[in-house]
Amino acid sequence: MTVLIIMIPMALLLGFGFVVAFIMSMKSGQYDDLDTPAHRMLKEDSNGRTHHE
Amino acid sequence: MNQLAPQQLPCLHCLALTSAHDQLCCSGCRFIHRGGFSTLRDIVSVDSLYDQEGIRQVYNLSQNPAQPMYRLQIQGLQCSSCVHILEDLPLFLNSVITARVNFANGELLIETSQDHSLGLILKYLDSMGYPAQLLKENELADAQNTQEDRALLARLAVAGACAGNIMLFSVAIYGGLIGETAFTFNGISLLLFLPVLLYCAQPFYRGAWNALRLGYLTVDVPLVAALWLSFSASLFNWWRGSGNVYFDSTAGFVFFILLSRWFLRTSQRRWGHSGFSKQILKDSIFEIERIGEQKNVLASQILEGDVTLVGYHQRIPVDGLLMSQRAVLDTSWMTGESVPRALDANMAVHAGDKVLSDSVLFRATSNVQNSQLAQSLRRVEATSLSSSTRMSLFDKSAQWLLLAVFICSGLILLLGPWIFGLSWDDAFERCIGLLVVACPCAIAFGGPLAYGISLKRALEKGIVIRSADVLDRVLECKNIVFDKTGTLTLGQFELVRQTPASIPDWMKEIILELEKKSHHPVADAFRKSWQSTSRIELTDVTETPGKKVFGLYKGRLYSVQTHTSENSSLCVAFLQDEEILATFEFEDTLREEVPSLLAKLEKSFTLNILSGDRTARVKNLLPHLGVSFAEAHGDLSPQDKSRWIRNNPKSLMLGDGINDVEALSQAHVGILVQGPLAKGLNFGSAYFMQPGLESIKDLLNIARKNRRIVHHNLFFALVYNITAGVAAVSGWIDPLMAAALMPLSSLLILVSTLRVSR
Amino acid sequence: MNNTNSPQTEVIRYDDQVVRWFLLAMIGWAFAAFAAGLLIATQLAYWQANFNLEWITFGRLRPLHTNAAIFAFAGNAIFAGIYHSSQRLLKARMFNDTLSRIHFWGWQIIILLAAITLPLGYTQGKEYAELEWPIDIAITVIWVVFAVNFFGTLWRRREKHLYVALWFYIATIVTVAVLHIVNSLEIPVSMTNSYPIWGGIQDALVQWWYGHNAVAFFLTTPFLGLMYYYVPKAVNRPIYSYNLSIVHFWALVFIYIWAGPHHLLNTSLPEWAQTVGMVFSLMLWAPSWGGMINGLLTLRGSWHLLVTEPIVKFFVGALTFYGMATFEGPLLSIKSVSSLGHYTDWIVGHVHAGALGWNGLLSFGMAYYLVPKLWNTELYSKKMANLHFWLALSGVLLYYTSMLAAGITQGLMWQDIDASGRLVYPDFVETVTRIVPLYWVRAISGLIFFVGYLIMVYNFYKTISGAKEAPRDAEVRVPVKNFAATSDGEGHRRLEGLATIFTVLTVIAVLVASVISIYPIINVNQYVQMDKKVTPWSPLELAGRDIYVKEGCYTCHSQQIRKLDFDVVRFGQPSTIEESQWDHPFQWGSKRTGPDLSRIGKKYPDLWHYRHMINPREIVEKSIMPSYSWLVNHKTDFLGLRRKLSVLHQLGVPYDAETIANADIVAQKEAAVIAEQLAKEGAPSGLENQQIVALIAYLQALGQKGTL
Repeated sequence: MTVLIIMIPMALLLGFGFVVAFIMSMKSGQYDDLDTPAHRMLKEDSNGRTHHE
Repeated sequence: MNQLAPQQLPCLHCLALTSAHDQLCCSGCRFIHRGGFSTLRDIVSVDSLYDQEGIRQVYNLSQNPAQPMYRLQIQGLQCSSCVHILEDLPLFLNSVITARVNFANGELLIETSQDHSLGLILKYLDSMGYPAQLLKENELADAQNTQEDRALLARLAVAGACAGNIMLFSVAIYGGLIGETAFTFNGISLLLFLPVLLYCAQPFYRGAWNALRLGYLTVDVPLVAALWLSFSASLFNWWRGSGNVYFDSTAGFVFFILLSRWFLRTSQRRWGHSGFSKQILKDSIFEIERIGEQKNVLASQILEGDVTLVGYHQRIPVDGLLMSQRAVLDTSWMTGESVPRALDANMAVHAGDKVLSDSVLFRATSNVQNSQLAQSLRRVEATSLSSSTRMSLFDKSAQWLLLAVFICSGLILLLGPWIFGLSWDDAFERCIGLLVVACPCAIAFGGPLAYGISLKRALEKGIVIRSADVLDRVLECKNIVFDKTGTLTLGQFELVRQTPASIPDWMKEIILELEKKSHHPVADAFRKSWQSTSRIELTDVTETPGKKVFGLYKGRLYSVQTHTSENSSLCVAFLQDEEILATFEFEDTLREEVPSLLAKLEKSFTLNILSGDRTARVKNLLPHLGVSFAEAHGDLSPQDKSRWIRNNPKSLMLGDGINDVEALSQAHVGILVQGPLAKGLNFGSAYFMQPGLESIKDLLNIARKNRRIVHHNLFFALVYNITAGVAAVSGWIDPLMAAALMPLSSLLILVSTLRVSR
Repeated sequence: MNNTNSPQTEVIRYDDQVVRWFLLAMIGWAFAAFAAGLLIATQLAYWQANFNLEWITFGRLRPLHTNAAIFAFAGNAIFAGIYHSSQRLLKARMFNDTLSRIHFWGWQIIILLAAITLPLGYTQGKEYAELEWPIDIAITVIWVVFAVNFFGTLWRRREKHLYVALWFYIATIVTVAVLHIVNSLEIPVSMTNSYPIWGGIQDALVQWWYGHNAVAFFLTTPFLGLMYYYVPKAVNRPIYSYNLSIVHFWALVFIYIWAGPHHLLNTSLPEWAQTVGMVFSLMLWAPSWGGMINGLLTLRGSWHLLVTEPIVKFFVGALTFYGMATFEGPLLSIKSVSSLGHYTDWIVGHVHAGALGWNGLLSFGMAYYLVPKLWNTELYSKKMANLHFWLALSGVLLYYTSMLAAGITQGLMWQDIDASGRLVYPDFVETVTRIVPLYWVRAISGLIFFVGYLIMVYNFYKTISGAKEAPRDAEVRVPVKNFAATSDGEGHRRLEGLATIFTVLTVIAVLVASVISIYPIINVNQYVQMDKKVTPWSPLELAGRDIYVKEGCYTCHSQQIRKLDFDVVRFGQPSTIEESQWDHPFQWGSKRTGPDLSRIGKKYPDLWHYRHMINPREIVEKSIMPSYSWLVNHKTDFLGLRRKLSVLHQLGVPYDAETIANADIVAQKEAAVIAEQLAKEGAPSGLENQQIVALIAYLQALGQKGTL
């Protein structure tokens, strides 16, 4: 069962990795505002000219 | 069921459905539609007050002097275009470096260059159709909420990851893995369970402790018990190498329950901030004279003794003594009185009064912290905080169910060996099985979810609800109590009667000309009723604010002055020299939707009016309302109102003024209707974002539907608990069953609950 | 005061040229994918359509079809969408134009090489990973170029929040890299040949961990990203619930990676590993449907667009098929359902509901959205687009229903055992001829889909050639980036660093997850009972096995008898882990158009095989198998055997040094014996150097190597 010696830390590392990734992104504020991004992405780009109405 | 307004058309700019008359859904779309930023090129006149260093300091949230940062509360965010146009601000204003909208909170965060002009930015936003208010940093409650939100989210993430991993290992065992590897796999599950037990479950411990301390049973108590019992049993069984291990299902239910609580938490919108006395009137800037020196300061910077100038339509920030000879003030916030009051020099003015005459000078006798207004608000906040932990219907019903489960499992453990001839070992396994399977999940999951969805739905209808239990309390109310001014009525006067019945045009013209410069509500009402042709010119027009206005025309003296009337509404007379030619009576305008709405509400509630306005005016209004009222009182002080509310415990009260807040905060359900101060304040049970009272109908519908779903969920939980309970007692529940039943029951609850949103 | 053109802002011009290229490449390669598909569909209905040409027989074209569909059509669609949407979501031009161009041309060259090598029979014999090692390396290099280009753009972004689509892209890029590398670990024998380092059950697990996740991370996550971008764009509505989309992402990424073993249900894989695969596959249903509902509800209040806008039609169609396929997938990973559906055309139908319905319709919708925008013009004909939609929809539906019917019909016939315990349909070919009419229906459905595609091509041709002005790249004006203005460590720089940290963590997570999910590989010795000795293939058998792989026999024949009664009654004792332990690559197969071959050895005389390979219908009248007459003309590569054996020896196959050194001579001796036997039985003499003899040697050895 030597393989478990590799596996246990690996498994924990995986869980840890996901959680850390999630918490890091949360702390940076990625999840603070989950309404505006959906609106923001709808902004149309201007084709070839940066003019304003 | 289509509850949409009859005519909803796609917005001409962004295609979001709108019922606005010009078919443009929001200010942003309107702004772009009529030409966008290019129309703002010529803004030059700017309120320079905001650009004084002292004032900037107050609002600047950034530590970095090179890049100041401001937070603004924006009104009128409707659609995606609003986000786009506001975030485009840096492209058109030199001084704005970044702009980010928070759509849900209605906020705009801007970073500016050092040489920015706050006044220009505010003016820009205003011209775009987004009146903005600067927010200050000291909103600790808000920052704390973000912290708590994030903490709960972190717990949720950890629970999810651990539960998922535990599942992976336990599934292998259900799949037939045995022996040493199985033992190790269960050991890993145990390791992964520890963070769930010690970190993720903390909110349950806190909840259970609070409940026990206060002597009642919430869902947290059995939850904690089940958690620890199943943990200890699993630990014991794992160690001795036989018996059942429940790490997977236990971690799973912790995750599910945290999920539903997080959902509920994010659905309960917080509005207003603590420290509201700073919030209210916070944004105004005043010109003061202090020890001979003139300067502009914020309301919060006014000290006792400062001579303060308050402009037309501004609100007085602190209590004080009038220094101007005369002033007309709208005191309806504080008193509920609809008719403006005229004051002479040296009379007391109060924070919150609105100036209706030209600028007024007064000497401050308080600062914003200790004005009567602030003190009364502070009292209100204290009471509303202490009463904020009420149990929801769901919790109350659930506790009996839980108690039953507990007693059952206790009985099995104690009596199983005697009555059913079980071994102690077997009895123990079955007791744990019952606790894990039958006990908390369906209940702890279904409740918050149903309430959360209802709250979200209410928000979509423009109703902000402070806490979930409001939905229950609304349905317990027997009485509905209305404030009059600003709630049933608009707080604006209109001309309702005149003698003689027909007024010749020349008279109208003279009256309009006399009132041309007046800010008195009467003048507004005249202007609204009659078209001015303005051919004539009066000389020597003089106004004694609140009393009379007179002038000369073709050598004769004409005047409009206050007059007493039988009906005691606001009444004025028109005089030629000393002779009365006509009299006019005014009434506070009734909201359009009120009569039909009251007719509906009358069926299920006793209706009442509590007003700070004159009794006679209340009486005058009654015939227009078309329904009978149990009680209708006028001339009530704020204390009278709250006394009435205390004597009638099951009351739902709607109001909009400071004079209502004490009563509102004590009412079973206190609702602030949209008004100038509603959103800034931190009390009451709910707040209507849309003008008018139509929202009360939506609120009642949502509450009723919520109750129905909650009942269904409870019924389901009952059936499920009995079934699963019997199965557990009979020894049919093994860990695999538990692991399957747990998410299955949650899924059923979820499906049942999602009906709320339809 | 001049408010416009302030010095605080700058203009960013997007690289839309590369998007146009990828889009055109997608449309162009789609022709190859669809045409090949149409041809092989016809071959199944009408074997004559193999034209007796080795390069276009089913076994060689089927890998070309799948590779073209996945990597050429879907791949270019993904790249077009990612390059287009990421620049806009990040408010930044792609990191480096040269990298973009290397990515584009590199990818097209890879596809071209695939289109050349696969018909020539250069294959690794692993589904969706058939390409030989030099191309594998090229894929790795190009993928890294893409990754650097993408993460560079992420690094330089002007928008702090990462929109959910980008998370899906990140997961795609990272995971596909890991999958590709792990599954392609191989040792070259020559420029055109190699053996995977995994063998037998290890290879099976790695392959299906890869195969499943190729579907997950090449055909699902990137397309979900595209969906989260283009659906809101098309209806100009924010996504129904942004919260839900985040949950969708995390749940999907976490669960998907574990589901691979569901491709190996009822096989010799340890029971508990099968259960893990089954349970996690079932769990996938929830997030998948969450995503579908989120996409569909985005249209609430805009359902009228479904009538007027072809783009919306395509997207709604795509989402519906996504929902259907993600419901059916978990269903098929229930063991009992799998026992009916596995190896049948039901799986083929399921896959096409996903590939044509979900990936196809979404890509078309995206193309209809992008072409007019990128070429600065209007779509030539909405009517044609609508017609395309209806043709595509009816094509997929007809395809799916015909294959569902075919699969279940055949599956039930295989299972049918009468009261006396005997098969009701003992002749395998009987179960095939029964569904040939449905193969015709499928070919017609493919034609309908193909016609729709041609209409789209014509529509786009007219659209682009009718454009009044030259295409122009889009621009965006953004505030000048000001790094100096970072305050108290919470500023831009830190936020931007986050993307990198996130990526590193995702790499670690995926790596670790991968190691765990292929844990039985490392642990496999525990299950392989070494006392049950299995001898490796003899040199000639190995040469024959390589021909078996080269001709793509595994696309129609399995070598895995499941632990199911009806499998055992029909084909013999269940396959064991030991039997295939020396197989590099494993050839368990995933489809039984013909019977299982695990125990075919010594069942028939050599001449039977000879005649059957030359003309299958001479032996089995109704057979739909192509003729392999060229095997009589091609010579066996004896000389290469030494190198092959030594490579396998390196991988742990127990060949002794003497056999390796004399591999060619040993093989030739074996061949002579078989050729003599064939000649005795009535075949032409002098076949000893021909491939047919090597193949017969291999076939006759199947099931004869181990102790049962």
